[in-house]
Amino acid sequence: MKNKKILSGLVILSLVYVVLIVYGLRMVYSKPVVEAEAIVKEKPENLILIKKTQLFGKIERPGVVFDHEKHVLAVQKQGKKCDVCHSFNIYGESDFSYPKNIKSKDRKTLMNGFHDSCIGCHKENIKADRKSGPITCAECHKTENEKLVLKYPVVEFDFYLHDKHNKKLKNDCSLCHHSYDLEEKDESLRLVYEKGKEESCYYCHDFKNKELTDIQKVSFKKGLDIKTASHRQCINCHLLEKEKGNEAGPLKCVECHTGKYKTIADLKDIPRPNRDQPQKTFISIENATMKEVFFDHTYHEKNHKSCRECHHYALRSCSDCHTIEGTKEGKFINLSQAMHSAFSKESCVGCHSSIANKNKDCAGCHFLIKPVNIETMSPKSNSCSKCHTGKTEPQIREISKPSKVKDKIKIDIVAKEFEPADLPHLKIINKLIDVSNNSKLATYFHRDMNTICVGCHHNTQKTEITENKVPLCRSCHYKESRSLNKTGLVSAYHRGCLGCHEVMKLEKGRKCSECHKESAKRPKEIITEKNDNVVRQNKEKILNVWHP
Amino acid sequence: MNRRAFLKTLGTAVISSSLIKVKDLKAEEHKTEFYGILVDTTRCIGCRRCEKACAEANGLPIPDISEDKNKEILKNIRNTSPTQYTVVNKYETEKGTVYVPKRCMHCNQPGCAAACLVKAMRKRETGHVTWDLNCIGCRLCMISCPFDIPKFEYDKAIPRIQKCNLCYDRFKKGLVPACVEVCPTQALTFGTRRDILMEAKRRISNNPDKYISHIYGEYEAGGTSHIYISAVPFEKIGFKTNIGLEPYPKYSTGFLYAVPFIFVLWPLAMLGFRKATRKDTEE
Repeated sequence: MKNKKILSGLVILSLVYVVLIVYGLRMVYSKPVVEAEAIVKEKPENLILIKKTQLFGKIERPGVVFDHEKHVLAVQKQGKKCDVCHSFNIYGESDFSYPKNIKSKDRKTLMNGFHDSCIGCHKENIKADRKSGPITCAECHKTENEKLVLKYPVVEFDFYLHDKHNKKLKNDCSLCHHSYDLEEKDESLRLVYEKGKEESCYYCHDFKNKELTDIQKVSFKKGLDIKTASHRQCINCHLLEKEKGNEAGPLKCVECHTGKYKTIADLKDIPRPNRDQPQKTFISIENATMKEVFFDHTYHEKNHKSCRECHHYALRSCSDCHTIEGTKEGKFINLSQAMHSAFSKESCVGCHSSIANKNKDCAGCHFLIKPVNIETMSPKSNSCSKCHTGKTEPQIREISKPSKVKDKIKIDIVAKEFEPADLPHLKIINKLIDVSNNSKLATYFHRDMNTICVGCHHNTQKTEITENKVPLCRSCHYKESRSLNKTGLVSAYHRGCLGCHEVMKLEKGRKCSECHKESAKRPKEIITEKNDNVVRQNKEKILNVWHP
Repeated sequence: MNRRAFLKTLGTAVISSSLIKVKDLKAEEHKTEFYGILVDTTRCIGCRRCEKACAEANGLPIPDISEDKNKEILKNIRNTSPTQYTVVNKYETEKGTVYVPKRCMHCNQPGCAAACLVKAMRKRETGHVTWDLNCIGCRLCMISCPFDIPKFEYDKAIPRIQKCNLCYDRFKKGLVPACVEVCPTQALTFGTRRDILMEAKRRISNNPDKYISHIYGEYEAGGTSHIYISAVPFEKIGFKTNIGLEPYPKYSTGFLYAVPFIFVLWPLAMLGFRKATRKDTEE
């Protein structure tokens, strides 16, 4: 009896021991493992990668690289049409799914469908003694394609393409634009066209990072994401036109997916779609405390590549969803936030400040001076009235060049290793005035000389500038300061000058010697306490100091 | 209790109390914080002044940092070496040229210190990871470092491990590290880890366009004293992003704690197996 008790105890102990060993080994070998990187092919020449990871998950064999163009030519050679592989409905439209007539999303049926139709066709060709494709596994599932990812550049249906289609179709929008009537009972009649209510495809067919709306849920259920929807819409139409013998749009992948995009300057003379939008208007909201804002819609149209850059949800007025109180449709972002959010790309302030940060000429000053003070999430004082003008169109005036400023300034207060630097004060001011006068956005906000001075002499009060008592760098930046939130004088000079030169992409003034020459004699004490322990032995003394 | 028993208990009590080291109460009173350096890679201009100052302060061969030499040297991506505790590297990114100073990260829980057999590599109370002369040259610290920082002097007769010590000697004299002192743009700022983290967060939140929202070293390898902020993703400027958030000693401590336990259990387990298999012959 006693023996048995000891025995069972020991068996339990040995089990614990085994568990411990397994746990220990797991801990040692559970270091993060680096996964092999995917090989991304940016220019796939009409190739399609069949992998279907969403449906199949992880597949046993590598994906198949399918040359669509080769198959199109082969099918044409045999005198057949697209319906060999894709099913077409009574209107002659296809959903371009493959294998045809298989609606099931079951892994096995789909896989068999692929294998049966590919290999079946290849076998037929072999029987008929024609040139044929592979029939064994590894000929299609090539191991070299295991990590391959094909990435077609996104197609931008810009105003140029829109205008081209518009002219060809003689302003008949109903061919592409439709809306979905959720209240219609007969499902086949739900797709309708409403004149004057054309919207972008993205509003219903794009599901990225969004809480889906009712219409988006419908298109999501049907699997009509923006990729599928636009492929169906575009290619079907192009294909039908081609069959009719008319001049048709592109059908090959690379003809649309060119990877080339038009700039705003290219699209300057192209008319924008007309949907009875306002041209010059005053944004006035009922019960708002602030005055009206003048808004030039036409100017903004000309300076954007797409309507969606501002109209992110639908081609409607901002105040439809973003009311003063905020609504659920507008995700409780109220009107004030929608117009002033510094982080949003769609808001007025957000877009304007991103221009100030991204445009290289503007960034020279605005990389340090935020157009909107984000810390307090509010505009600087006096700037409200620049936009909120009331019912008057704002007067824009250019800045005239100053008369009494110093031409050159010598910076010698921190000269140590290098000789004093010369600062071309007047030249800088004139350049900044030119930059400001050349930009419409800048002239709107910079209306007098003060705004230019503040570019370098930041945190200066307006009165100080008019009284000619502008504070200098050394007034605030102490020479020896190296603390966290207070920039020292040396650092202030370098970051102020170099930072501006860098963001403005100026070629001058990027090297040390361009601003200050190295002094002939190097001063002995560059760092506060120079160690005389340059010799290796002396270093030991320091090491010994550390030993308690 | 008789006299004999009393003396026995008293004796054992005295012996055992002498074995247990009484905790130093003084150290408890003056609690120190980890210090560190915040490196703002958007501010670095690649002047290599930190390299020179580092060499001067640590008695290393002084590098030539003239502009022509800089241009040539910055073409290659360099690593720290026994004679260079810090190096500046240049990376071309979509947001322009980025210069990145590289040196010891001074981990909060350094793998090198955990691996050291003789405690030559130590994490000081002030955050500095330093190396001492009692090193036996096993180079385990080099293997255990996730950032590949400790360097061994293979060419010396009496080799040492060389790496940045966050200017521990200067710190004791009340000075900031040499590299921080000479930096002309304050790309390097020295302070307590808490303060530099706060400053890094302030810079990021005030310039959401400029910086990416990631502080390298806040959580990497269990947190480091050297922290970096950047305008471009860190993998593009030569940082390892696959090192995980666990402190490196943690990968082995769990296992190592089990070792003594297993030493006791091993004979018992073997005995158990024997009992189980040889049951018939014993009876």
